Amino acid sequence: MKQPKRDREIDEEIAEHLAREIELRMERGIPREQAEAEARKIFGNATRIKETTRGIWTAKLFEQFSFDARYALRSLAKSPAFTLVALATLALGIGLNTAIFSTVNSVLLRPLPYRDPQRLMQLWETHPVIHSAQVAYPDFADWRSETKTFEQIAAHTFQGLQQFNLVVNGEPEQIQASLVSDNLLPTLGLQPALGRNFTRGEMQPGRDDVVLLSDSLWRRRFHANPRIIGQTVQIDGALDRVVGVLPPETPIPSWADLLVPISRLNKADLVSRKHHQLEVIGRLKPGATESQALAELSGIAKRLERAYPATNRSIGVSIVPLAEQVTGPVRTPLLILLGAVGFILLIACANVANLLLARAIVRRKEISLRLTLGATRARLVAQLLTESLLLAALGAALGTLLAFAGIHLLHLYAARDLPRAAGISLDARVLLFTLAVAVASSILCGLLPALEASRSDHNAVLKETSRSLGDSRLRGMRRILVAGEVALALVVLAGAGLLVRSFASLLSVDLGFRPGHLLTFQVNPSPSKYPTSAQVQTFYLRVLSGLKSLPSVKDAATVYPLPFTSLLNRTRFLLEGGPPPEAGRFPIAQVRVVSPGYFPLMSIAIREGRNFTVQDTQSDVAPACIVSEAFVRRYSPDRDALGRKVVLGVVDPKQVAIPIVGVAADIRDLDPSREPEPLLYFPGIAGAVVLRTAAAPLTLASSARRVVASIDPEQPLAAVASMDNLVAAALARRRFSTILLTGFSSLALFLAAIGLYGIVSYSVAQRTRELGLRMALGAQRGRLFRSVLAESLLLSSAGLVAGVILSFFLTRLLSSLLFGVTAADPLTFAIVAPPCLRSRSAPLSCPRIALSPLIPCKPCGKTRFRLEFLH
Amino acid sequence: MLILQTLQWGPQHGHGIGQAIRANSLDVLQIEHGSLYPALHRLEKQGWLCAEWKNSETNRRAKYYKLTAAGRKQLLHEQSKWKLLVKTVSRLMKPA
Repeated sequence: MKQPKRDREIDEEIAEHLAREIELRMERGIPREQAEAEARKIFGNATRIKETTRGIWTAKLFEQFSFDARYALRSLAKSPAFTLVALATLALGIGLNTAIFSTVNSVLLRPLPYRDPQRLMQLWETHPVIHSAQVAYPDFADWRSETKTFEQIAAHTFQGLQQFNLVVNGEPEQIQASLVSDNLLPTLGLQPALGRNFTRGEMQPGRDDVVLLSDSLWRRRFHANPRIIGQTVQIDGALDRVVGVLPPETPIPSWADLLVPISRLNKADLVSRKHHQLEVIGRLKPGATESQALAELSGIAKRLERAYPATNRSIGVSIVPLAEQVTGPVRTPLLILLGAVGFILLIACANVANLLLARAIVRRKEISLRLTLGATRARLVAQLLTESLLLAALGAALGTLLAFAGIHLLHLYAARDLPRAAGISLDARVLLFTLAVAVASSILCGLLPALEASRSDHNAVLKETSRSLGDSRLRGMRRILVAGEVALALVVLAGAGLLVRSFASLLSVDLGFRPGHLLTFQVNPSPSKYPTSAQVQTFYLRVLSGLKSLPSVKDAATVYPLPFTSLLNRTRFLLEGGPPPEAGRFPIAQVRVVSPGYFPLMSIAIREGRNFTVQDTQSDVAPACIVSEAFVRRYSPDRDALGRKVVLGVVDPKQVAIPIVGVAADIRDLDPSREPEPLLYFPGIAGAVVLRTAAAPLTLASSARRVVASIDPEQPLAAVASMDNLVAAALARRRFSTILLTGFSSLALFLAAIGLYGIVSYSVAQRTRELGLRMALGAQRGRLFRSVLAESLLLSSAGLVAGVILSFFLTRLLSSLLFGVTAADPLTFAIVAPPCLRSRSAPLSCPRIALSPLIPCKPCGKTRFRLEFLH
Repeated sequence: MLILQTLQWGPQHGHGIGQAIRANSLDVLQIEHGSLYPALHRLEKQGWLCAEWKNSETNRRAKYYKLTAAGRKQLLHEQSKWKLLVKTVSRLMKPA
């Protein structure tokens, strides 16, 4: 052991020096005591000199740190209440930040799980009215063959377009399928887990009876049997050969259980440039940029526009990086949540800083003593910071555990509403973030108290009895901290308030139909089994009448596409007698094919004219159509729409004109915050089945299944859901961020209340003597209450004002998430302010209790005891 | 430099060094006695001094510091630097 020896030597050397000095003086006849005092005085501060001398020899930092850490541990262990509160606060703050950051990390920051994901782009066609439309097959084929900036351009059909009936061992199931180009997997950089990808040769009619299974379908229906490769499965009444199985997580298209060659699109879709139904993904060549690609594709689009003016006029191209496409809608909410938990961390830090300041006041004497004994201020600050660092480190460890739990909850509740939620986990980057947060928060909450504590004028402190002047400075600092907490809490609360208000107004939006007691499901009669439309109709009619005979079914109807499913079906049209459209700018409306029972069943009012009749559904070309009010407002505002004719097939040589026989009330679809779109209803029996039930809708699912099976045992039911569920699912993402932010805001409020409580009760404790004296001298209790109350009122009002100003700026960031309220909604501010104000009454309860039994002699007695103790 | 200067006449312990500096400077330089020690140790660490424990004239153990070769060189270097400084300053201060 080298170090202690050196220490001993330094001690000895200095002792020797002093001894000589003393001797010298005593030789001059100075008495020993005086000699010793003089020698010491002229030598200077021995402790500090020893320390400095030692410091020259040691690797100072590390030694100090380990010493400080041990010291800090001891002193934390000595005050368990303080330690527990500080730890819990920090763990909460850091844990929340870790959990939310891990979400941001895996959803927004982590690259998509493909090879070179930054080169993947989603390509859309644009239209003057629809800004990002799916791509028509021939357009895609032209892009693919002409591009020079893309290595590959691949396509798949969008969700909900293709359902197939799969029958395994006589058990039918409707599965979601996507028609894909042969290069989809290579474009993404994926390979089948088993078997092989489609070949180019399999992309033509006659040779395209091949399929790829998703991993989940393979496990669910084929017991993960690897010998499935090369075997045939029964799909839509025909036999298809399985050539491969996809890897477990194929994110695009993630919803599809079956991939089939794109050549199985309808013949018309393969040649028509008006049917836009492909999602197109391109992989840029290395070095090619987004803008080069856009320029090139726009050039191709221009050429197509000249070559096919009927279909491609005003059709342009837009490019979005795939990562942005996938996570775009959740970006703002996630960043806002991250900001909210950041505020909570700040509040938590302010609380801990407050506790540390209070501790600094208590430890004032210890610190002054050490300053007097020769500790440098920097040394003391380092020591106090070590203490907060230790607190933050322990807090971070606990917080990480909390984050684990939080992530588990996220997996349970957010998986469906958040893209890539399954990948949320703690990885190195998250842990690094946690570490940074811990260090930052230890400095945030430790630096100020450390600086303040070591500043104190030690002479004054050592002489003082119980109160010192240095106190008022510290108290001022703590008040500022608490006011800041109130301000931050108000910001979070205001944000949550706005989200809650907009969510509430979303829930109260009139959808235009009654979603309660509706059961919906998809049936998809296989075309091989029901080749003619008459046969399909008969099938549906039998299903409907079977369902209507069920005891608790009030009514049954069909609709295609079902509202609140992601499927949209838009068409270009012309109104007869209307002004001719500008070049390529045909009016656009959503198309819905409904059975006559649909309107009464959904409680969608027919405002003018009549409903469809059974006869309307029976001819091949629709003899009548019904339009929505939004349609009338937009396209026929000044003329009676009834009796006008809608011209369809505007880009085809053969056009049909269909008379408008009725006007139906608007409905909101998919996103209730959006204004209703113009709708065009045609009579027909196809698509999804809707039941109005007397009992809870889902209890009827199995009897509905039996009814369909009695008509065709190989016909599966799919997507069985109540309409309430579909609407709720459409709101799920908003609900997710609203609930989280509301939770966070109550937490912020709670923490701020604790902070306020702490400072007020501490100041009451400090003023015990003064208050006691005043009571003894006859002050009325009420007046004393008021003086305590005034302090907390002042603090929270200051915080409130600051908070309102801050919120005014920050809530603007929320505006894209709001519906029916503005970012500066006065009502919300009026609602959130009172809880913040109330948070100041919380701390009053305890001081009040502390104050109530205060009898004048008690504080005096206490003081006397203290004085005795100190002298 | 003062310490090195003092030590060129032979090994000395801390107290002696302090006294010598004070005596030679006719008490113009009044410093805390203690501040000598960090300086001594710094020089020792730099290798300009070496130290050993010896019995002193009064037969008590004391730590004696001695100039090393490097210390001597450093002293010469410092001295020439100092002379240059003094010369330059005095030339500047001389009335033209």
